[in-house]
Amino acid sequence: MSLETGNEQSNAKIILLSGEGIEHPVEEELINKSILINNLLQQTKEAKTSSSSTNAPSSLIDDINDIDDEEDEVASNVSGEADQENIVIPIPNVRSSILTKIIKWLEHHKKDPVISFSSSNNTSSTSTDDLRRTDPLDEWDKQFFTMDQEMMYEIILASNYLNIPQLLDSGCKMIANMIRGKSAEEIRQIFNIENDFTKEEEEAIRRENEWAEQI
Amino acid sequence: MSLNKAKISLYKISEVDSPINIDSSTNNKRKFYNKETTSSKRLKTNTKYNMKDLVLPEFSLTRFCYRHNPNYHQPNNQDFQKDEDNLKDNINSSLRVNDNQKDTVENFIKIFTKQEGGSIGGHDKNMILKILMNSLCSPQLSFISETCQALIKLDFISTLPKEISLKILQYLDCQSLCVASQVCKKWQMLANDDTVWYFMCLQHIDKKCEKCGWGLPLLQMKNRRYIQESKNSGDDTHRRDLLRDINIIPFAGNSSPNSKNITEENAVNAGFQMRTWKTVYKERYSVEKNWRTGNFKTLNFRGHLDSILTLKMQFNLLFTGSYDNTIAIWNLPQLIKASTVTDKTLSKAEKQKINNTPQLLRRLTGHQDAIKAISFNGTTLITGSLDKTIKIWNFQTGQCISTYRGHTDSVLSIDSNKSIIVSGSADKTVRVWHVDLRTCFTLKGHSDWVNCVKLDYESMTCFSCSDDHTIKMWDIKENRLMKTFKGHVGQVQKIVLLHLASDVNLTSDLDDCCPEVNSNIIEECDKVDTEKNCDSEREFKYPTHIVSCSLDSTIKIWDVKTGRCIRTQFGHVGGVWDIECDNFRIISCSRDRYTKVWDLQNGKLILNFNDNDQKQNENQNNNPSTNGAIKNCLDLGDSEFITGDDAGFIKLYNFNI
Repeated sequence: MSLETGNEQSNAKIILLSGEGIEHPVEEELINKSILINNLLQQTKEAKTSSSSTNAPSSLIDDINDIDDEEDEVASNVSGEADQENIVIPIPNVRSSILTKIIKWLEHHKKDPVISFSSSNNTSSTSTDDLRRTDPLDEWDKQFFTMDQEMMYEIILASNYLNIPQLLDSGCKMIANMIRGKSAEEIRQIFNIENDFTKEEEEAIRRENEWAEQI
Repeated sequence: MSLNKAKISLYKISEVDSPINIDSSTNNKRKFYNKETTSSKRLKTNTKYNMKDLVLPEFSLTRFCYRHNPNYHQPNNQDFQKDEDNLKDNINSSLRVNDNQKDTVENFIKIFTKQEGGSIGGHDKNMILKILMNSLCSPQLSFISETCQALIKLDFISTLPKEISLKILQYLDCQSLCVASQVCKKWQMLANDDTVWYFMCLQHIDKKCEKCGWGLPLLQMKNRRYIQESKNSGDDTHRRDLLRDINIIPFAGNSSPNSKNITEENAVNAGFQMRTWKTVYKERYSVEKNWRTGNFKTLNFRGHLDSILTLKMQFNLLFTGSYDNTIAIWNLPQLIKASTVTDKTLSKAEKQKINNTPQLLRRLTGHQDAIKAISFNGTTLITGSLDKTIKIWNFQTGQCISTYRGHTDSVLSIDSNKSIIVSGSADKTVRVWHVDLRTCFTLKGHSDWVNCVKLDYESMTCFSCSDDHTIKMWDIKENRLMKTFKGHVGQVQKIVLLHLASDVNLTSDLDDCCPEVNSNIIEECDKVDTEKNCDSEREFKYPTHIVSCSLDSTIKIWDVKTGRCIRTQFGHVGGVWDIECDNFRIISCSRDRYTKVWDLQNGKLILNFNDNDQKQNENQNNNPSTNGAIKNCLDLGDSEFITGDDAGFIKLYNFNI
């Protein structure tokens, strides 16, 4: 709850509302990395300009605001009076601690070149995908992801939901790094996985895959 | 403040029956952006409870936390419950507290661990835990931390949405993927997923991956690549087409039904079955591994009575041209695939025999002198001879279709594509034969024998190298000289054209180049650059690099665009007679009796063969006469290479074993 006080004076225009109902103000240019929110903002802007009188919100806003309560009326009143500039976007399925982390990540990657959304949306083009795949994980991101697995898990899910491709990539690379170069038993230990193969199965699979063993 | 809060929470716990709304304390701060019409509002209010249940999970994006999600732990759920019960029983029996306290503790645990309906919110749970932990001593805290270490781990791959899991797996290398498939059943399913391996193939086949340094051969697609080579090989869709073609199996023998495949549609349309991409990858990986480790089998046989001047592999056949005026066509079982003959019913000796028996299919006679050049245009065979003629053959029937006369000295080299044949001759000229138009142009410029010519049909250019130490690039549309590459200090014997994708970084040693030579080249470049401007739309189709070998015992790689030699490879101590290369390797044979395999990208020597090596001798006990004969020519396949020597012996090095 202390979060809202700090950045209030800056030119924060977007307020993200976490699952717990805590406000996280962010600059629009930051959160634009999230394709979901970017699209949402585009649509609301369009809706605003095209028909400011009607209250025809886009389907996306509808989805997100599904959790409206009685206080909706109050809320809209408040936003109407106090801060016309601020747009509040509820992200009910992301916890506050995760949202804080994501915003931290966004702030660090503020100046990164924007990978065009169209290409990352388009599954048929792999050229950018390929490019990103071969990029090593940068040092800051490595530090950023040194956290417990549960939080990493939620960040990956949230970045998938919010559609922040670069963050999702980093998270996936981080997990790939945890797997790379390990033996099967080590992997089981790292992720607390039960070996559900029988001895015979295990041997068969080992033989099936031994062609790839290191030279 | 936090203490106050904690009190509130604790107070709430005592009233278990009333559902706790975790948002009640903060909801007055909520602001909603859009206004809703009253009708839709009513509808929403009706379903309010359900909505809350669905969209307000305590754990991000899921209603259950990882540990309690029934989807993840279905089979173990019962055990889990049992464990819990056991623990509770234990508490009941062994706790040394009085009954009153016992009840309280039991109650507390009951409330605290309650899963469904009226459970305590995550936020409140944290509060309670904080209070509890504050009261603990260090040993207990370390107990907690230790226990947590194991409990907090979670299995990303099995529990994340499938598309994310596959994305993670796509970042792995081949070894790690194979290990991952051995972890558990779920991992096996995902790590063997076809899309993952498709991307592996896309990344590695016919292209060296910058990250891991592995590139895999096309194998049976080799011939096709030569036909299509001039297309921009870096192009994405082209690579996809290429992969699709690899996986379309001409024979249904060893295919396995394949449920999901990116290119399945195309294949099904064409009526072909697809193999799994892992199989495709594995097959190529094994060959590449053999190349790297020098694991191969050799086959040595005498093909001609006199020295072999040229040889070429095509259509799984071997064509050799010799000083004895004949062209021999061989069927080598190894060229098809070693495994095709490994029938288990045959004894080892029999297998060996089949594997080691090259069949002479035909000997073409007609040339009056030695055959120095062999080339193919589709299925027609074109040969050039020291008798100054070029002959066109139907090699299936052995018929000579036509003879081209024009050169005034030996024909040393032939290349052709579509309706054009280019030939280089000892009469110091290059001739361009337009077969359809029945015309022939003579390109003059070299001051000595033209040892090798190469045609690049797409860009309508032709490259030639000569005993005058230079390589020349010709425009065969206008029949003019475009560029001269100077740098070799000996007769240039052979050139190979490369079309490399722009992302291939060849190691360069430009700084080592003699500055004097460079300045010459730069002059030349300036001239050409201005010329290029007028037909810049054609520019990108030019070959990107030339690899050349010379009797100055070096191999050089040239950048066609700048005209500079970007790398010189030393290693041979005698003149290099012949080289051949593909996207990964250069092989060379030299007067110093060594045959060397180089890495194309970094120029490092990978394998070095000498007939005096022990390893070779084992295979050659019955043919001691071959020792020491100089290898004149060679040809490179994806999984093998073949050399021909002065004594008429042919040697096959097969890496597909």
